[in-house]
Amino acid sequence: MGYWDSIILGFSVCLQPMNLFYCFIGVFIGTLIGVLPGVGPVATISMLLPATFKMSPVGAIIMLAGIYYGAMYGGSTTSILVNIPGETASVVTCLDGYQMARKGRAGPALGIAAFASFIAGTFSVVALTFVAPPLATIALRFGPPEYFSLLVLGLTLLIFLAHGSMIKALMMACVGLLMSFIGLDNISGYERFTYGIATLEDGLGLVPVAVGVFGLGEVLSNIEESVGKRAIFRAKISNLLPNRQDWKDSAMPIARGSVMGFILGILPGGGHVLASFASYAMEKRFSKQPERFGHGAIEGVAGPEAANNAGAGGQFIPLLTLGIPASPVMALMLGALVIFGLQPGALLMSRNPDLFWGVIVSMYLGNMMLLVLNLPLIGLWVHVLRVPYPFLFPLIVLFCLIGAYSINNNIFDVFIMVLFGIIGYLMKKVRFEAAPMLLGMVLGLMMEDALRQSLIMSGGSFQIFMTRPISAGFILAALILLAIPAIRGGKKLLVAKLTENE
Amino acid sequence: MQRLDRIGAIVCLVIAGIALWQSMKVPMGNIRQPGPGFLPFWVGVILALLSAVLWFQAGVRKPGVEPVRFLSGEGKWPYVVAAGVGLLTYTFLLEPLGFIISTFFLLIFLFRVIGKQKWWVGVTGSILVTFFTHLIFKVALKVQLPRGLF
Repeated sequence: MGYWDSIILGFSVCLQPMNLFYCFIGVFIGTLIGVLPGVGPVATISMLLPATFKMSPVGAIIMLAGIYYGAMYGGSTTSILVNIPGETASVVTCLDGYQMARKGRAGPALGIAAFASFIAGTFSVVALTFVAPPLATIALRFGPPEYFSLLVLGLTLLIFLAHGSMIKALMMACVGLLMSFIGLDNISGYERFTYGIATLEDGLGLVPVAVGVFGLGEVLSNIEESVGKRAIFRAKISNLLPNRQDWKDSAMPIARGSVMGFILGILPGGGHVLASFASYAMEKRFSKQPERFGHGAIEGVAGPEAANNAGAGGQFIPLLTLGIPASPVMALMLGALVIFGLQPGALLMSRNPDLFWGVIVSMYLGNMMLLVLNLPLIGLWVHVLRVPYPFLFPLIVLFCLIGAYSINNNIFDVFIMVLFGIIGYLMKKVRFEAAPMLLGMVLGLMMEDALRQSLIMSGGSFQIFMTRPISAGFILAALILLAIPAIRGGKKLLVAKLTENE
Repeated sequence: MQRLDRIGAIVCLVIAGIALWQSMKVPMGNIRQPGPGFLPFWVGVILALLSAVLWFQAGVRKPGVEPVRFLSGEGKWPYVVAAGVGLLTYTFLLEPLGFIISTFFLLIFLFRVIGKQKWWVGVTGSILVTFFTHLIFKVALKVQLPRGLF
């Protein structure tokens, strides 16, 4: 099937009224949770996953995907107006976005964020359309060693990205791996870490853990820090359209951010957060007046916003072509696909072209809907921001509880969720990051299978990972990442800058 | 920070210990034919080593770089504990009492005690939220929620 036939098939799928509706609901919820600090796409998708069981698979995936990239748009609004990142990917948008708002340029800041998101989002979908099929062909040649090395690279990348200590991130990844081993062993059928608890035989559910750590844990720390008293930018927002000079300043950052975001998005463990940080650093380096950064430079909004949206699109590639979830969000997508009886990976495109192309094309339409939602309707989201936290958090807690319960109709999952909420709160306090733990948990079993199969293939020699060229490339990249303290120095500088601005 | 890092190191060391202990209970296999205990064992070893490194690093690092406010944000930590206890209680009451009753009381607790809303706000909010979530999840999305008493 040629590209055009595929795209036409995609349009025919997603222009069905129900799928259009799901797409709209997805991007709407995505923007909403993006705007609200403390609820991210991971928690939201986990909570809504059970609600999609009654939908068609295509509709469900379209909606869940919409939530994810919609959140990338919404997050910037909060960063610009409140100086609190609505999402982790919008952390850098605070730096210059909020400064622009303080100088009375909230309108152009919001405008360029939305346009940059739209351009990059569309770019990444176009790239996805053309890159995914050839990658899927290459992916068919991947054996266990290649999978293992790629997963190692993914985990390393995430550890490398950790905000604080790399050792702590490594430790969390190990804990996550151990968590994934809970339950029956895939190959031998032995029970591991179950302590005779029947529910644990199926393993620790990703949804209760993710909702607990990212949903409830966040609420608990917000209760303590009384986010209710945040200072919302009160001035009237006018002139959403950036002027000619703004466009001139932003054009190249958007282009660079889109390309880099997409490439980083493809790598497991990279994704939209890394993309936005890297883009900010890059724009500062390229700029003729780097001293303007941090004082309301529009490039500092345009580049990272483009990068995080392109990264979000890129993330679908490892999932759709290799069946590897590059991030917790993608792991939930994978969970959804599996629930619907679909096997993500190289064969998805040929076996379920309607789903594959329907979802991709829905992202074109979703990006257009988001542009409308985020520019003319910006006032609506500003109102949402003004809802006081004491009204908001009981709702978030309730959605967490319902989400955890309804995944299996099992009260034990609710207990796990509450437990991990408390653990997540404590981890936040002692600065142990949750993301490596969750990714470790997601990738653990896949890594174990790949490692065991590789070792059986090689008769117990670890050389197999270095003698196969693709695998060796991944391992080498992982080693380089672990060994470059110079880049970490640069990153530290950025983090220091961030805390300084807070 | 120093002390907290050490606590974290000890907790992780305990987790590593559990992993080692549990992985011994299943066949380890060998490197040619790794069994179910193989990777858990080695991940446990790595975690233990990392915990040790963190412990020693915590001693070397200059203290007081980032003061952490632990359970201390504006004296609100009792609310965090209360919220945790309230939620655990909810998990135990959800099945016997059913979604509607237990959720109503949980919401009153959250609105009134944790969120410090006025009584009438809390009660009205709880009724509305319980009603609408029941409508959306149970009636519209057909999610199975515990029935309990009714």
